[in-house]
Amino acid sequence: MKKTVLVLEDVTVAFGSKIVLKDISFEVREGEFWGIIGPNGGGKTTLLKTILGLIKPVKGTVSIMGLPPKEAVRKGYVGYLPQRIENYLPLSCEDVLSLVVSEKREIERLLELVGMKDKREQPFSSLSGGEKQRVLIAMVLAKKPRLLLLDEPNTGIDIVAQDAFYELLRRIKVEENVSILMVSHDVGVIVNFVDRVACLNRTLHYEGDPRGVLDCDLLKRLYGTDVEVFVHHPECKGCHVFRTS
Amino acid sequence: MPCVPDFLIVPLITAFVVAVSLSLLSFFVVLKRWAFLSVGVSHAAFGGIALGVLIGVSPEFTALGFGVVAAFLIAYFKRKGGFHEDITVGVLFSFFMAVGVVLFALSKSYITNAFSYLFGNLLMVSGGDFSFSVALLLVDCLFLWLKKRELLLLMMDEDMAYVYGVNVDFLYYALVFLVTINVVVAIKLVGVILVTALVVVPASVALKIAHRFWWVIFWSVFFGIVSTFSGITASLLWDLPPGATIALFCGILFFVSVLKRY
Repeated sequence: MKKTVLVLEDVTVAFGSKIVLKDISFEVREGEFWGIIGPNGGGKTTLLKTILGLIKPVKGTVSIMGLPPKEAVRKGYVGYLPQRIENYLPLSCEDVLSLVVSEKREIERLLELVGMKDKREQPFSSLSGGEKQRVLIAMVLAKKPRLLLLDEPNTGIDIVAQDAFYELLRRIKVEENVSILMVSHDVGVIVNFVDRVACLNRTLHYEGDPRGVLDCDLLKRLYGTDVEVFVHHPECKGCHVFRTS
Repeated sequence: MPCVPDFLIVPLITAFVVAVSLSLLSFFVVLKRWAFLSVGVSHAAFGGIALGVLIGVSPEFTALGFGVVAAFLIAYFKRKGGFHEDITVGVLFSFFMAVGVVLFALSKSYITNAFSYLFGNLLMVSGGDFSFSVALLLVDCLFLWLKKRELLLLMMDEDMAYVYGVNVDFLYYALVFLVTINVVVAIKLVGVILVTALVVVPASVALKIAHRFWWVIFWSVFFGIVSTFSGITASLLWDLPPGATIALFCGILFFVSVLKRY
């Protein structure tokens, strides 16, 4: 049996009297790739910040490798990639990594891992969205985390670069033996790449096999209306539109 | 530069020291979108200056007190999301400015003193200001040198910086505090209304031409010095207020850099 990396037990988060997350429970095991989907304002980013220890739940507990979030973060067990980072940083790819790694050889290894070794001296601000995400993934991996938290890492990236990025994450998951929890809007894409899915809209509507997400009742309940999902397959073999109406 | 009378030498050197200090911090102000924060701080300081003049205490201390209170309120609400930054700055800026105008009116010295603080006056700069500016510049350099890595992570993303072990709250407010002191010190030179130009323009222009951190800092300082030198020269040649001429050259520099892009 694989080790448990992250455990959420009855986590409830409130801002004042407004409940943002209610009774969230799930477990992420070693080497699993999780996708978290749900509508805007459904609490996805709040969930990530709660796991990071930046928001304290009013009820329930979060534990990472058996530790409270802040301690796990301090020990370097958690890597985090936010939705957006400052775009005008005057740094090369190497400079970005040198903020968190001191050894030149390790910087090269990480850049090679994400396929960015050739662009190591290029200004970070001049890279495409997909390339920036690769450099940031390398940066996040520098601490050798056991759990990677990614907040909509593919916002503004074209679908080809997205496929390559998901493939990279799958490879990293195996090579670096890391568990990944990724928030995403792309229901139709995410189902092809992740091991498990959590559907979140204040409460957990579904948790399990990604194929189970393409269910009319579930998607209507999650988004509160009829939706169309473009189900994209790598190399576009069998791409189709899934409608709930 | 035209022939400089002896009594202007200390103020002029102080002007360059202040310009270098503000240019060093300009990078962080631009990346954190704090231009409006510096506006709020400088206008809040005006209230403090007026209080100092009225009660006979050194206006520098009261200005710093008002500036720090305003800066921390703006920064706190910006981070905690209680109000939009423009609302907080808008309210505090007009409130403290109004306090300043009322207090200056009560002190019966409104016209002469207020005008000097609003638009800057080289003649107000003393030997004490020079020493304090040099000490502040050293603190700025030391802070930048020692905290470069943490500051860059903070610029990238605050939550990400936290994950990398940065004490985000401390560093954020330390930077706010440093920017505030530098802005307040520069008020005598360029005035409440024009100080923002020296805080925002140098790095805005530098970021257009440089892609490495230390080069941005270098060009930022260079543009800060060039604007100050040009502004003071014009001020001495045509007997104009130096704050206004420095801000004018900052503006020209910015517009040239924008035009060059097209």
